[in-house]
Amino acid sequence: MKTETVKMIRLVGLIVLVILLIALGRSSFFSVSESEQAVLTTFGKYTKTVDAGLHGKLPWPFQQVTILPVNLTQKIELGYGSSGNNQYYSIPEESMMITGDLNIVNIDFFVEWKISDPYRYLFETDSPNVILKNMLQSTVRSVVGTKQIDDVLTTGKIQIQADVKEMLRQHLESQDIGVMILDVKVNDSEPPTEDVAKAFRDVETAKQEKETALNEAIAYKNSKLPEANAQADKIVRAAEGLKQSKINEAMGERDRFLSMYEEYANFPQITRDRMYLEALEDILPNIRVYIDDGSNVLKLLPLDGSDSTNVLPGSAGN
Amino acid sequence: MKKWIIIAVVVLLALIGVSNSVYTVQEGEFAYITQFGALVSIRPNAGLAFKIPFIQDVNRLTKKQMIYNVNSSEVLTADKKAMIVDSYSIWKIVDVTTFIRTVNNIGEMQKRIDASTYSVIKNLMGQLEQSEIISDGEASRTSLNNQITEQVAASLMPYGVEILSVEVKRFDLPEDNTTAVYARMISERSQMAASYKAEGEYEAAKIRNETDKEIEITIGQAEAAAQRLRGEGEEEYMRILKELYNDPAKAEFYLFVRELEAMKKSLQGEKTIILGSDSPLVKIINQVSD
Repeated sequence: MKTETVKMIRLVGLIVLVILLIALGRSSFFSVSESEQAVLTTFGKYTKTVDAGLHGKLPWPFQQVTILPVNLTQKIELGYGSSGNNQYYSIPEESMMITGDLNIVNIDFFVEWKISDPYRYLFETDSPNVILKNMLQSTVRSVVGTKQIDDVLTTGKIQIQADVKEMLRQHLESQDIGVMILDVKVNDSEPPTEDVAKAFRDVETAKQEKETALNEAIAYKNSKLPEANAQADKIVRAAEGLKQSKINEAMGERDRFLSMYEEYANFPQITRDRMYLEALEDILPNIRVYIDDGSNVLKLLPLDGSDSTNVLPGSAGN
Repeated sequence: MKKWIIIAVVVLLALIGVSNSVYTVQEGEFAYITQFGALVSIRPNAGLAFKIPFIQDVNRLTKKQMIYNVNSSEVLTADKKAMIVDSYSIWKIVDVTTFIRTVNNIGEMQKRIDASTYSVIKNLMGQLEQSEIISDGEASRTSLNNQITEQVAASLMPYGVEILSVEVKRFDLPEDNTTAVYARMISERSQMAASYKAEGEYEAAKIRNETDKEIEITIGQAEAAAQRLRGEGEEEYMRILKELYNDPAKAEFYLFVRELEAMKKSLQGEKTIILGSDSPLVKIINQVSD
């Protein structure tokens, strides 16, 4: 009976001892993964920061360890949130803001940051993540507040990203919470409502239409001007042709005349008569000729042989 | 046996005593010792520390910088425009003694920050026009934040806290104004669209008109050149023929040739002529018939 009690006590003692040893072991070693660093405190006081690997420490209550994801790139989504399966939802309170020209824009940011100073992050700052997000909101609004709506929606995004990053960096310099900004991106920058967005698209359409109208006008110019040049060329060429033919005509006439004149100069009267007769030959066959010799009888040509005289119908009675 | 019990009790009491007199101060906090409620000492540094057991109590306050989101409030700008302002403040306890005496509690302190920030913002923004607050450069926004910080910090100094910064993080229009802004944005855009359209039409018309003008000029010039050429042709014609009648003999003959031609032309077709008996033609005829 007595030996059994002793055995029992020993067994319990052994179990307690093993549990204690395990607890001691667990409390004396800790491992740190590659993305982390561990901060060690002794009686609450900061002792050191250690990198990845297996490390030993004094057990509780002497030393305590806090593991921080120091090397991990962390993110802030401003203006939207994402749920598990790539579903995004908008947070208008964060994303709607006023631009410098008093318009409202819906703009989302994606910011990457990491812990730069574990000591400050852990011991000098209460909820640094919340502070960082608030600083970001303030910075983003300051920057967008200096920009024009058109810049914010189109070409100014790069500048906004750079400005936000720089301003945030300055903020964090003057107010160190143990974090650093790696990257700032404008995720989406849109007009605030569907109606406004439509109005913006209409402007784009109008710009396109303007381009189209100009292009059509230029096409008109490009096709009509050569046509006109061709027509002008035709007019000038025709006139040149006309001029040349006039000259040719003159020269032809001159040459013909000169050759006739040569002959005429040799035998003036004969040539003259011959030409006259030739001319008559040309004309007379088709012409009725009456000769008035002072009497009432008119001789009628052509002289067709059968009847050399004829009487004009009107003078027959005389 | 009795001796063992006494030893056990003593050890137990000693343990309780020790555990009640030893305490740790964590990084990022102040510990302060009170004795029957009265502040005795402050331990600002982390580590192991001692106190008189049972009589003295350990209290803790955070040394860390904290953020407090100030409740959003509506303010009126100098040009009587309502705006919703959301701000936050980063602050920390610096003078524990004063803090304990004056507020003694973080939640209470937050209320003071709230009140002070609200009145400072209302005051400062009430002196600025809406457009100054929104659209002025980063520099002035920063200086506005700095002014707010300065004034809030000064007003809260008596509580033993330091206001590291007060930042306006949201500065928005009230709901009904927002709708008006949307309407204005839409109308601005429609106007832009209309002006692009008109510009396009105008510039296209300009190009067409310019083109038509150039066409007119080109054709006109061509016609002028054509007239000139015709003139030249005429002139050349005259010049060439002039040689012929400069000489009186040639001129006489030329005239004769022309007369013949003119006669041939005018007597073309079925016509009738009456000749006098003394006409050369009649003489020729008479000679022939004789």
